[in-house]
Amino acid sequence: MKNVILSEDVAKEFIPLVNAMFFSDDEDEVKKLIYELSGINFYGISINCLPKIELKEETSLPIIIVTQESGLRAWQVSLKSSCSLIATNLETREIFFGRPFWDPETETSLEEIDEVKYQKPEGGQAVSILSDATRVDARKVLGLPWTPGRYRFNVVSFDWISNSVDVALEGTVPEEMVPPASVSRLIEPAKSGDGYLPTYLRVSSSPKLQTGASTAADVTVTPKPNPHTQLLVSGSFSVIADETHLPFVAYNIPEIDGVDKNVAAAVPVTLALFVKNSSIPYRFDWKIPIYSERPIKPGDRVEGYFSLDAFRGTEYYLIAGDYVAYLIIEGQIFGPTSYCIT
Amino acid sequence: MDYEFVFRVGPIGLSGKETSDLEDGTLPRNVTTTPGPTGQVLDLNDQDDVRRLSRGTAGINEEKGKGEAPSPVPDKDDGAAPVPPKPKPNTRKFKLVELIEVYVGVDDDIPEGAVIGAAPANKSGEYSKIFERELFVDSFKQYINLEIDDREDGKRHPDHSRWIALRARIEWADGGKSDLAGKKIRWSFTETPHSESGRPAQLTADQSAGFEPDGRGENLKTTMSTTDDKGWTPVVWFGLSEYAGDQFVIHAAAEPAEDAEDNSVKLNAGPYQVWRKFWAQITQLKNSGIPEPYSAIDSLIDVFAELIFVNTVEISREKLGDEADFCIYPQWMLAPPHPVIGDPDSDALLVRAEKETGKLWEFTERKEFFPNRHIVLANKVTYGTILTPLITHPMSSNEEEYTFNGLSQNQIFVNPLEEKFVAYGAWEIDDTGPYSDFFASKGIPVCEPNSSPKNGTSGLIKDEDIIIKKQRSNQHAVTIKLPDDCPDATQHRIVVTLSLRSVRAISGFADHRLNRTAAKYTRDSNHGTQYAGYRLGRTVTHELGHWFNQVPQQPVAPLGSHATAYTGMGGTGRHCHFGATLITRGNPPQQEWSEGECVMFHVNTDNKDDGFCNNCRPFVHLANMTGKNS
Repeated sequence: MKNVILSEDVAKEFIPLVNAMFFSDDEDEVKKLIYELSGINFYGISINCLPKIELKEETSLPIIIVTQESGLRAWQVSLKSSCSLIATNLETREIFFGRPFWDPETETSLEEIDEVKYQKPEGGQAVSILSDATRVDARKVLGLPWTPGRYRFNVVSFDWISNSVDVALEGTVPEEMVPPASVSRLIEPAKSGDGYLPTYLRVSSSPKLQTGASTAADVTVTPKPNPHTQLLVSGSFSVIADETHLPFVAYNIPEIDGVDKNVAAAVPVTLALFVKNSSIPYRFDWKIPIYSERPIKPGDRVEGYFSLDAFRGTEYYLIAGDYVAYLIIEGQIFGPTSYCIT
Repeated sequence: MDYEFVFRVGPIGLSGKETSDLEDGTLPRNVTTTPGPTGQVLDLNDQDDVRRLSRGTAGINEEKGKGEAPSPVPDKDDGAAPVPPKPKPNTRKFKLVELIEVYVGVDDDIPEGAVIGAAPANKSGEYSKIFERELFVDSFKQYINLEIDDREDGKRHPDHSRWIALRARIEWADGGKSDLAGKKIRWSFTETPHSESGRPAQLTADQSAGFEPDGRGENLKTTMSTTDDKGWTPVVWFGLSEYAGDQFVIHAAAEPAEDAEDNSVKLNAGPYQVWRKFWAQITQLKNSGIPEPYSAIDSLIDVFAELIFVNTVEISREKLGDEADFCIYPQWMLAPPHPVIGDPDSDALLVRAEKETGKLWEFTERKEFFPNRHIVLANKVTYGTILTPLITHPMSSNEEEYTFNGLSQNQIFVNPLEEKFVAYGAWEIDDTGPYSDFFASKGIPVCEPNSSPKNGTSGLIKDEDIIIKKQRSNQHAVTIKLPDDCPDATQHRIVVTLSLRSVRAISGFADHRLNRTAAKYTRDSNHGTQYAGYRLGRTVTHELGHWFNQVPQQPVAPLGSHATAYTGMGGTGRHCHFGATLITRGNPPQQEWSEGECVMFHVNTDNKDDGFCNNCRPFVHLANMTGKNS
C-alpha cells in the first residue's frame, strides 16, 4: 500500500484532470475513483477541478470530492451532513458557502430524514474504511455568478479540511447582475469606558503568528453561554497588501486607548463556525483595519489583529454540541479551532 | 347576500339592463331560441322582434313576420308616419304555480327530465324522466368540478357542473292554462357565503354566482324570462359560485307583480351547495390489512369535496408475475425504522416512484365510474437509489454483519432490487495492508509463501452474498457471506470491498402527469392500527392536496398569496408551515420549518393535523379539482 496521506497528493494522483471525468453525466466514471482510493492510506477529503473553464463553452463548474474515513470516524461525525463547500473570489474576496451533498430536488416528502446513531463500531468494523467520490456543480451549490473570475475552493467537514484548488472562469459573457455573496463590514472599536471589545490593537490575547508563510493567521474562539451568549474571537494575521486593501482616502478611527488610529489598509476576514453534523455555518464577515502612521503600498506585508464578540448585537445563541471555527482570509482557510458547549 | 335587481320596465317592454343586453345583438341563452307559445321562434336577436317588444305591443301570439298584430311602427323604408298604439287593458291576472329544476340534453336547452328535491316541482307532470336529489344535512350538493354527462354510465347528472337549469310556469288566476305567452318572470337568488373567516367577501367575476351571462363577463344577479303560450318560461341557467360550501336559493316571481293575482308569491329552489367530487382507485396488496385511509375522506368532506374510493384492487404475487420480485418483500425487510407488527414474514408492498408503468399501476375493473385518481397504498414508498460509500472491511469469519454508519434513516436496504443490489463487491487476500494488526489480533495468519489458495487471491461479491437478515442489529446492517470460491476467512486475511444500493424512503408522492399517488402505511406500534390508518389518510390527503395545486406558488384571485406557503426549507415543492416553528441555523440564517400542523406540511409528524389549516382552506375551497393537476 502506498503511503500517500495529504489531500493535495490524493488530488494529484487519483483525481485526473480529464474533461470527460468532470463534464460527463456518467456517475460511474467518478465512482471508479474510489476503487483506486480504497487501497491508499488516506483519511480525509480531497478535491480537484479543471484549472480553467470557458464560460461560453460550459454551464457548470464541476468539482470532484473524494473522501475516505474509518468506520469509527463515520460513526463519530457524519461526513456528508457536515460537509460545506467554500469558495473565495480571489479578486473581489467574496466568500461563498454551500452544501455539496444536499439535493433539494430529491427530498420529496421525506418522512424520516435524520441520521441514525448505531452502536459504536468495534473490531473490524471500526477499522474498516469508507471511500466515496462525488461530482458536484460548484456553480449550482454556491450560486456563483457566471462571469469571469478566479476562485479558490475548499471543502470542510467538521474538523476535516480538504486541499485548495483554484479555477479561472474565462471568456466574455453577457453581464450578470448578482448581489455580492458577502459584504465585510468594519465594526468600530469600543469607545473609551465602554468595555474593551471590539479592538484592532494587538492585545495580550492576540494569537502569536507562525512566521514564514505568505499569509498567516490564527484565531482563538471562546464561547461564553452565560449570562448572555458571547463568542469572543481573537485573531492575528499577516498578509501581503494589494490594491483592494487600501482605502481611497486615509481615515482615522478612535481606539479603546482613546487614541485616533490611522487606517492605512483594511483586510476582509470571515469566521465560519460549524456545529458537528451540520453543514450550515454561523458566518461573520468583518473588515479588519490595519493601523499605520505611514502609507501602505501594494506588496507590503501587513499584520492585523482583532478581538471582538461575534454575537454582539445579534440574537444568536449556541445549542449544546461540538463546534469548530475556521478563519478565511485571502482565500486561505485557517483552523479548525475546536470547542464544546455542554 | 340577497340580490334583488329592480327593472324600470313597462308591461312588456325592455329597458335598462335588458335593453342594453340587446343592443349588441347578443342575448342570454334562456331567451334566444326557445319556441314561443304557438311554436314560432321569438328571436330577440332579430331587430324586428326587438322593436315590437320594445313598443310593448309585440303579441307573443303573433307569428313572426306575419303581422297578425298591427305594427304601429312602420318599416323604415315605408315612409309612413308612426301611429301611437292604443294599449289594451290587461285585467286578467295570472299566478305563478310551479318552479321546476330540469336537466337538459346534449342540445343543451332542450329539457329531458325533471329534477325533484331542491325545487318544489313537477306538478304539471310535464316530464316523465325524473332525477331525484338527496338532501344532505340542509342543502343539496352540486358537484361543480364535474360535467353533466362526463361519467361513463350514459346518464345525465344534473348535480354535476356549476349550472342548474330551471323553469317556472304560470296559470291564469281563473284556472286558464293557455294564451299565457309573454308574461314576465323575474329570477333572483339569495346567497349564503360559506361562514369561514377565510371566505373572501367578493369573489372574482368568473367565480361568482349568477344567472347565465350574455357572453360579456359577469354572471347576472337577476334575470327575466318570458312565458310561452302554456305559461312555461324557457330554461333559465343559474351558475353557483366556485367557492365550496357556499349555498344558494333561487327565486322566481311574477314581474311586474301587479299582473299577478297574489303578488307575494315567490317560488324557491334550493338551497344548493357548492361541492366537488372525485373518484379514486385504491390498489393494495391482497390481505395486507391496510385500513381504508378514512381520515382523507373526512378531511376532504371538511372542505366540501367528496373522495369516493372505487375499484379497490387487491394485487398478489400471482397477479404481478415477475414484477412481484421487486415490489413484494417480507414485512420485516420493509419495516425499519418502525418495529414490525403482526406476522413479520407476511408480504409487504414496496412502490418505487420512478417506476411509472407495470401491472401495479393499471386501472382495472372499471365499475360505475372511471376513477380520476389512482392511489396505491404501500408499506414502503421510495424514490431513487443512493449508493453507499465503498467500504473496505477486514473479515474475521466467513459470514459476519456489517453496519453502514453515516446513512440517513430514509435509506433502506432491500434485496433483491431490479438493478443490482451490490454496486461493487469484491474480496481479496490482503497480507500487507493496514489491517495487519487487526488480523494478528484475531490470530489470522498471513499466507504461507507459495501457498496460494486454489481459487486465487481475489473474487467477486454478488447480490446473493449479501443477506439482509430478519434478526439484524439495525436497518443498515447486512450480513456479508463470503462466496464459496473465497478461502476460509479464519485462515486467510480476507478484505471485502463493497458498495450497495439503498432505496430512499418517502411518505408518498403525487404524480400529476400520470395521475398517480402513492402513500405509505406505517404500522406504528405506539399508536396502533387505528392511528396508522389516520396517518395513512393524512398522507393521502397531503398528496391529493398537491393535486389541488396546494400550496399555490402564485397568488390566487381574490385570495392573494398563501400566507404560510414555503418552498424548500426542509422539503421539496410548495408546502404550508401553519403552526410550525422556524428553526434558524447559521449566519446568514438558514431556516427550516419544524413540526407544522397543516396536512400540507412537508413532513408527516405526530404534530400534524389530518386536514387543511385555515390558511390553506380558502385555496382548497376554490381549487378546480378537475382533470389532472388542478
